[in-house]
Amino acid sequence: MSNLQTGPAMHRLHQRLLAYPEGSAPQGQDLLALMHDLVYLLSPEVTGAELAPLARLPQCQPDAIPARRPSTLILMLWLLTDPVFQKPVLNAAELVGLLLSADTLMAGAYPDLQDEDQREELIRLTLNGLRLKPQDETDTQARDRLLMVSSSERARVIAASRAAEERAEAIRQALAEKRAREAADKYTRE
Amino acid sequence: MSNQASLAHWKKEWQSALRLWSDHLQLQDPLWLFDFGEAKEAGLTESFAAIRLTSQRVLVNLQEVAERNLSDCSLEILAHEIGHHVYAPANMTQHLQLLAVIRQALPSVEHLGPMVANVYTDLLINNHLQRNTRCRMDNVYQRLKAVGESQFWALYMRIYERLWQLTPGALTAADISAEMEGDAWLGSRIIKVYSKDWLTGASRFATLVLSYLINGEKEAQDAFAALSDTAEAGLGHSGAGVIQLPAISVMHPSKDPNLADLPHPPSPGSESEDTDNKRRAAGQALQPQDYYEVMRAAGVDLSPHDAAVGYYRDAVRAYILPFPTQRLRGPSEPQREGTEIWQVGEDLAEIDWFATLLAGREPIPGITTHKAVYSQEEIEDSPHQVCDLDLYVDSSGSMPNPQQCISYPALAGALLCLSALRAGASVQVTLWSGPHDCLTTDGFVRDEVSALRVLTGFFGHGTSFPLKMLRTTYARPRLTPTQVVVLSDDGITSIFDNDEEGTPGAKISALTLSHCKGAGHWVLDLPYDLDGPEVQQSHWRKKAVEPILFGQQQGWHVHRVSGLEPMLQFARAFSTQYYHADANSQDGD
Repeated sequence: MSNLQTGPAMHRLHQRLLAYPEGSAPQGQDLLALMHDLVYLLSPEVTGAELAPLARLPQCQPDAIPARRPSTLILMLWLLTDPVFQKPVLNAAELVGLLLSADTLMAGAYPDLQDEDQREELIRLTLNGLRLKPQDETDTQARDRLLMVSSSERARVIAASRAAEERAEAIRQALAEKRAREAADKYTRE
Repeated sequence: MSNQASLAHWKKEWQSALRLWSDHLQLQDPLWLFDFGEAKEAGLTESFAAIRLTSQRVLVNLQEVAERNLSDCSLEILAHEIGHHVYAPANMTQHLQLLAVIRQALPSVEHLGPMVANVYTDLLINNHLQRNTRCRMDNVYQRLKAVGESQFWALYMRIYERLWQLTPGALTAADISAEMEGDAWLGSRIIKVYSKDWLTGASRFATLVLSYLINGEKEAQDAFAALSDTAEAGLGHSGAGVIQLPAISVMHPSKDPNLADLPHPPSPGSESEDTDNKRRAAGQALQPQDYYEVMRAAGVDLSPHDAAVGYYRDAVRAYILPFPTQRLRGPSEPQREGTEIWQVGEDLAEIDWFATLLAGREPIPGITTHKAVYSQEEIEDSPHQVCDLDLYVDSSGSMPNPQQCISYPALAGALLCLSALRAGASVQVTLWSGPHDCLTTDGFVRDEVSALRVLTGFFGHGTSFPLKMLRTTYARPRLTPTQVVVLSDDGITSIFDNDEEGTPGAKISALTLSHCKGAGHWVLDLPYDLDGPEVQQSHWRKKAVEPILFGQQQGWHVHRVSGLEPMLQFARAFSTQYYHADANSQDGD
């Protein structure tokens, strides 16, 4: 049984991210106001108490240091302001929770929008946080594909790959040294 | 479906497949092979389709395609083969570079380079087609069953699953370990990140799959045999320059910051690895032996000697200089300058009667008779005669084997030969080593390949100059001025030994310089200068250079060559000196 709502098409969201405007990202009170507006737009039933935690985000503080590149949170906001997100019914608490944890979801705090994998991960994390799935995907496909691009999963498998490679390299070096020693012994005998 | 109907369908799909890459793409029609007999005759034995980069052609074995139940994947198959022609490797130069880069990253299993190159370019092409066109490449792979249990095949399939976000298990049957999962993720990253800079990606990919090849070479070869469509892509290639490798450092993709965004702890060997990488990053040309191996890997059917001929010919092509010529006085037309009085006693036929009558007086011999005065005008652009080249190449054990590593004397020789031939001269090349080791061209020839074949040969035995060749060539004065060039090291001193008839070498040497009508040159690979301090301080070195100094006194020009730059300096000086010389300075001074 499906428990994820159908959301927008992936290619639409990739295009949205690629169209992120150049310029300085909002911060401090501007950012807080933006988030309030967004949550209210997507989930009009939201209460003040549900919005309150957003004010504690470091980027919303008056002394926040401006970043050179947009953070995951800023990109997620840009993504969610696409009109396609106004169609599904979203839960305000989930939306606020997603925004609060945005900057900790990916391996890097500042995703590279030119990197297709990082865009894919950002989109899927956003959809997953709102209990949505991309258009034309089943729940299972959506979960599998999220797993495929997940930073934490990637860290686990790459660490395994790297460890295996280091073990193999050590064995190769040991074999090469052994062959060199044997060749030297043979040469000495002859 | 009959052969005719089948062919019509494939031909239609061919046009569609071309348009998938570009509306303006034109390639000649594929070679349609209807049965295994025809396929075998065309050299298509293992795979159901293949490419030939030299003829830019696609080959398709329609019977094999049908037997593999792929007949309805005609668009995918054709678009894939076209991809090899327009994307990766696209041309022979890039194919050879690809193989060379991959071989560097496959220590101990270099011979599997063609297979890895094939698999890697397939990934690039298939990913492009699957994601940017209507081709369903996943359908093809769902029908292709691997022979045996190859971990490399499982990894390959898992990379596709990741690239195309297929359900895990759609193409892979085996359980995937965390290590392979990581490798598959890295493999998919390589294909995405290095889709344009695919030579760098090839190096990363080869490093990634190295362990799979070492641990399961046979299984991998069996599994990928049916897909080897670029194995003989270079068939018929005749060389297009020495392969210049791009600056690519060999590293595992998990350590490449472009691929994996995880921090990597420095390892104890990282410093030496960095140094090695810096060395590689400078870019380099392949050695003749590697050049041969890469050519063979590309399916080019040639011997090590043929490869060496191509290598040296291509290596010096950029440096070919005008060959020295001598200015000869050419015949000139007499120019009429005017008239003077014809004197009694001069030849009657010289009287210019027209000029005499034109003067208006009665012709009185010696008084009013005129004769014409002529002068010989200097011709500014007198023809140049090209000097022939007589080249003697030392191939004793002290010289490098030009077929294995780069030999600067051989490079110098190749440069002189090609320059001479280009200028219209004839060359005679003699390869020599021990008393019975002498290989020569059929006299003075104008054939580039036969000259270079002798030049790039190798004996590797003793050192005994072929005095008989000098004696017979210069028994009489040469009709065409000839530059005699000897490429050797300190073994040149054997030129002063007695020949087989007991004639002193010094006498033959002097006769050669006298009868060649050009000049004699010794191009020697010496580790020291003849008048350097190493010679002055060492008694045995002093003894060793004495015969060389004697040769200099006889009139041989001695040039020391111990690297690329000195070799080029010699070649430039050689051409410049003689090219501008006139008939009066034909001795080379």
